[in-house]
Amino acid sequence: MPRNKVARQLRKHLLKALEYIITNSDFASLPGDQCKFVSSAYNRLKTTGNDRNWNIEITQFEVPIEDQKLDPHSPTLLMGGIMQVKNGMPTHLSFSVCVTFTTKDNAVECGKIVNAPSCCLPGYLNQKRVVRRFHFDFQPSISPSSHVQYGGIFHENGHVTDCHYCLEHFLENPRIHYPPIDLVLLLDLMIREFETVLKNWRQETNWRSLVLKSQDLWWKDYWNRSAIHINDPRGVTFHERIYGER
Amino acid sequence: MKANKKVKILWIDDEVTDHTEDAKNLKYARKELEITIIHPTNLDSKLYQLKMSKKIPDLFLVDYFLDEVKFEEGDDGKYAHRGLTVAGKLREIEPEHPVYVVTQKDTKKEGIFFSEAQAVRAVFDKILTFKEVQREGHNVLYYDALDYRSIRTSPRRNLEVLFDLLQAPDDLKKRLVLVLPEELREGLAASGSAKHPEGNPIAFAKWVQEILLSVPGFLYNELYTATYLGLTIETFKNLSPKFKKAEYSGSFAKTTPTLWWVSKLSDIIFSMPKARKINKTNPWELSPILFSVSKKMQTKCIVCGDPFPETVGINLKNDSDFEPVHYKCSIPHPNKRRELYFDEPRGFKVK
Repeated sequence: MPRNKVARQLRKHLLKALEYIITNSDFASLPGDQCKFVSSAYNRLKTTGNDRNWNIEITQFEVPIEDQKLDPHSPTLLMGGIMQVKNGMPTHLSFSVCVTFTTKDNAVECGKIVNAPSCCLPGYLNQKRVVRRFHFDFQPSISPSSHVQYGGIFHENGHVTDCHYCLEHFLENPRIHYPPIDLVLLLDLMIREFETVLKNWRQETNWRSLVLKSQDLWWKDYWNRSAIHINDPRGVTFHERIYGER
Repeated sequence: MKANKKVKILWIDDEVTDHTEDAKNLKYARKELEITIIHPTNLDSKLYQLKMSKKIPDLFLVDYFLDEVKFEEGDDGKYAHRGLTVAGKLREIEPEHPVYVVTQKDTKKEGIFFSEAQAVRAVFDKILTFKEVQREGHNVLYYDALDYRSIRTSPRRNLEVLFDLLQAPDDLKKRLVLVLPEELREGLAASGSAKHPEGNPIAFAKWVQEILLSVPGFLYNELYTATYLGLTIETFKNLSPKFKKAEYSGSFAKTTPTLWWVSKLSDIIFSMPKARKINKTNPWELSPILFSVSKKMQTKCIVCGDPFPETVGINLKNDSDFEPVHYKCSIPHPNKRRELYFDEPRGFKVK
């Protein structure tokens, strides 16, 4: 596909997805005006006149997890990321999801040792702490170009500062080979993995159309190429191929 | 130059003689106003006369306490009811015309603001104190009446008309539809009343004034706008000419303190050539850099003192104290109702 067309399609699709999110009543009902953060990204992207070169940051927004088992921890999902297009091609796609718990000491409430003692407790009592973080990257300049990391660098911003993060910023490996994940695919994955107020999106026609379009834009080519790599007639292994060794 | 439009007001008051001079003063301040004052005991005959002559006033102004002064000396009796009764009658006869109430009492402990507040709010379109009428009446009555007239005379079964009345930005239309009350989702015509054009101009005017212009979300007042742009109010005041295009100019704009469309504010800053070089998505982080303002000129959270508060909160100990706060330094306000798609009311406590 010609470069300009790719960039235009990516921008149009992201705008559509952001518009879906900010006009959705379930999303609008989330505490803490999460719409405001997504709206900022929408407004910024909308005013980007140049289809060939643009980058957008979607500030992390927070979606409470509705799971009775986890209730004492006030669990939330924190999602956000960036997308960069240069000369008509995507050069960086980076979206992350964190699961956060409060640092409230639940040992007494639960009658067993949960969450305590923890390195997070003394200075961060009643604040949030990141208990899981997955970071999905698509960056053609590194190998594997499309990967997932556990942990990675946690970008604090605005309303999510004071989150305690002890998964070690400096450790970026292993980068595990994984298909590219954009905002739509990440959200779709999370609303299936966790019970949230966004659960109705799973069956919602317009949301599903966005997911199908994201698959088309990010996965079709990826899986086709992966199939070719696996069936390499020269006997080059998949890892050799994606690490550019042979 | 185009002549200003005439506006007819019918003022119903038991103190006709006393207020004749006030009516003259209003007309003196705004010559386009034509004010007629009548005693409530004459209401039926006056309405009949107006209906026959097809000269229905643009706006009714009703005194709340109508039972104090007789029509004339030696007259048999006073009017036996209050403004609510008159308003009910006016609503029944002219359901699309605004009815404003005026009261001499401006203490919030009076019945009109207290035990009768619900009924008053349901029937009247605006509550004015007599002092407000004297001071601002010539503008409030004139511009509001014109806005009601333009709503009333707009095509009915057309949603686009509502957006025109609001002068709403195109990109907000989808979201505005979502917040419109059900009865306005098809425009000004009442649902299912294609053959009967009587509709909801009053419902629309009420929603505009009580929700759209009053609840922050689509439109921001000065404090919210300054906070949204990461600036102190003073700094924003100096920069406000740059945001002229974002000012609200739709229905009731003339009688409301200046408001700005939030989406237009961000359009203005994101469209600035310098903005493209700065990797910030949130307006409260971007604009201080764009306008090269010092730290002193940037707004700070009232709770923690740090920069970039994302919203405005209400002091939990004082409902009239609004201050910039971070989400992390505030909580959803325990007593304020949240309107979907509008900003969440936040409460804060200063340590």
